[in-house]
Amino acid sequence: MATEQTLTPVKAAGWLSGFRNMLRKENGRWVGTHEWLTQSAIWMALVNGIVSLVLYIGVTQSGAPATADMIQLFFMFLGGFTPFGVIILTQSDVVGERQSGTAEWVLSAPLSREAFLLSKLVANSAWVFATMVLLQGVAFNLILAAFGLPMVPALSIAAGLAVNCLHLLFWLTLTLMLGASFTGRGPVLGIPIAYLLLQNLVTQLASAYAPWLVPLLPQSLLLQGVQLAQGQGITSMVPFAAMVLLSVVFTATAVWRFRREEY
Amino acid sequence: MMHSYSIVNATETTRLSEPDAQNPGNGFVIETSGLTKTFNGTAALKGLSLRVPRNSIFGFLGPNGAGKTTTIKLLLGLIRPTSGSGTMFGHDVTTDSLEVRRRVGYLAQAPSYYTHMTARETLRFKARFYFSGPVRALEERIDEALGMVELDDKADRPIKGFSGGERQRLGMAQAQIHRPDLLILDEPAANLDPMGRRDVLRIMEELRKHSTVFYSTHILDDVQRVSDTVAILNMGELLAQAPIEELLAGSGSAFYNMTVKGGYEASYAKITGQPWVSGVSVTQVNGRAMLKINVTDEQAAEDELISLAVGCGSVVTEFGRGRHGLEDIFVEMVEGSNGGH
Repeated sequence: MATEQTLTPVKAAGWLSGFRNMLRKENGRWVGTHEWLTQSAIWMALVNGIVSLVLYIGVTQSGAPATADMIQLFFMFLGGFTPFGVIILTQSDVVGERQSGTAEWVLSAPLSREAFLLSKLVANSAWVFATMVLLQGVAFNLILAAFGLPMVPALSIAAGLAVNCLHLLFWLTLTLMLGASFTGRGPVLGIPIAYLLLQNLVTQLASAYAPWLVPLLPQSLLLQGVQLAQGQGITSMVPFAAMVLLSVVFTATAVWRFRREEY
Repeated sequence: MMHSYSIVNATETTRLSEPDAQNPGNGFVIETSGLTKTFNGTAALKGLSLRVPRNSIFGFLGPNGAGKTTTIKLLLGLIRPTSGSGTMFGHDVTTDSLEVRRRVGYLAQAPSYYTHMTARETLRFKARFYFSGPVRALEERIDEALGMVELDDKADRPIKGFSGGERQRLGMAQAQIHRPDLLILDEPAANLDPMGRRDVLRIMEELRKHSTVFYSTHILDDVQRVSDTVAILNMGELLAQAPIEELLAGSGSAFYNMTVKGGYEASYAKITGQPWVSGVSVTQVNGRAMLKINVTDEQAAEDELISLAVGCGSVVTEFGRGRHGLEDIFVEMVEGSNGGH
């Protein structure tokens, strides 16, 4: 029979087993449900919509604002709003699959638990970066040009956007870890949202009582991003190292927890 | 507790069921030894030692909460044993779970799928865990599976709108999409109407051509229709494991059915008084009394029962030796293990 002759068994073993198929499915979820379009539109309205409004008011009433100010405004909205989106969007990735029974179903196939988690992280990261950050950055530059302001040099805006991607990776991995650690959505959604809402207070307290902690907080990374986009240099590598390290720790913890999970 | 059936003694079976990783072709696809699972101090499975013969349809029976699903999840590596061990095809179910799952198809009790996918997309997704190759060959395999479960006409509809029966049939299709050596089906016919049940049993018999089928159920009619070997589990303990004919044939005390017309009370009293009669139950239907008479001496029963009834003025319209059904055996064993309650 033709079918017997041409299909070959998948050979991937160990932690990679099933990763490719699961990644294809996760990408399919973004494309098939038009999630990419929804997210692109939401962040276009929330970030670039507000930036455009400010520019329009500035241009029509008090003259064109400085590009540096607009960069600051753009990155403030981008860094301030998108973590909420990431958390809301990915909070049910693990918990939802556990509750609906689909996790049990796919894990009964030759899919490793590492591949289950990492496929979600990779697909979500790629689509989040593309729709929430990169697309918005390109649109921002076009908006500046449309209002007659000089565009941000490609390298500078790319560096600023890359820093924002790293910032979102921190929230993605944190949510993934919480999803692998809790059975209900409450803590997965509540813990990071609570931190986001209280982060100004946390930063103030840290400045007053533990200044060494300040560069380790996610907000510090965002300041570096604004500086890079404005063509200034990096003042400290500590926020970068902290975010990378924390993202790795969160991912490793998520995998460790998920491997012990029973279905 | 003693039964006259092929009761599995835990100690004996432990000796018999040593995992045989060196010899996966020993005729058993599943072998467990003292498999135990405890949830928060409560034992869901107590020292299960089980052997599932290759190419059998193996019915795994037990009331709700007996430990059937726990056993299945242990075999699939979805949960970890508290103690004991198990192998499938000679591979350890805990340490070599991925290799085990490559050769197994699984249908959960309440199967869940990604609802944004269609039936065809679901099968494509599942098949790609096992196969790569030309799209056309993969699609041929998917079409075959859809045809087998008669979902061809609904293949491109989102699963969201599927009925319970359609979901179950899709479940059967996805479980066998890679033609596994072993199919594990957890209550495949539960919650289905008679037509749905008939379809599922038909598919199971189809699948037997390629695979061993291990399925849990509490629907005894289905077991008697399609299984060749059964195991009975209650409160986490294995009560019996044997080929179904052996279980039915070796089912302890004999009984006789007698149907009488007219008054049965005198006959009932006379028969009950015989020393070789261990119990009589009566059911009345359309003016006739049907007596089920349990005896300890079959010869005495065959020689004397009719004359005893006739002598009391009853008209005997039917008489014959009864045959224990699986339900009788199941109920007796489960009640026995529950302490008669």
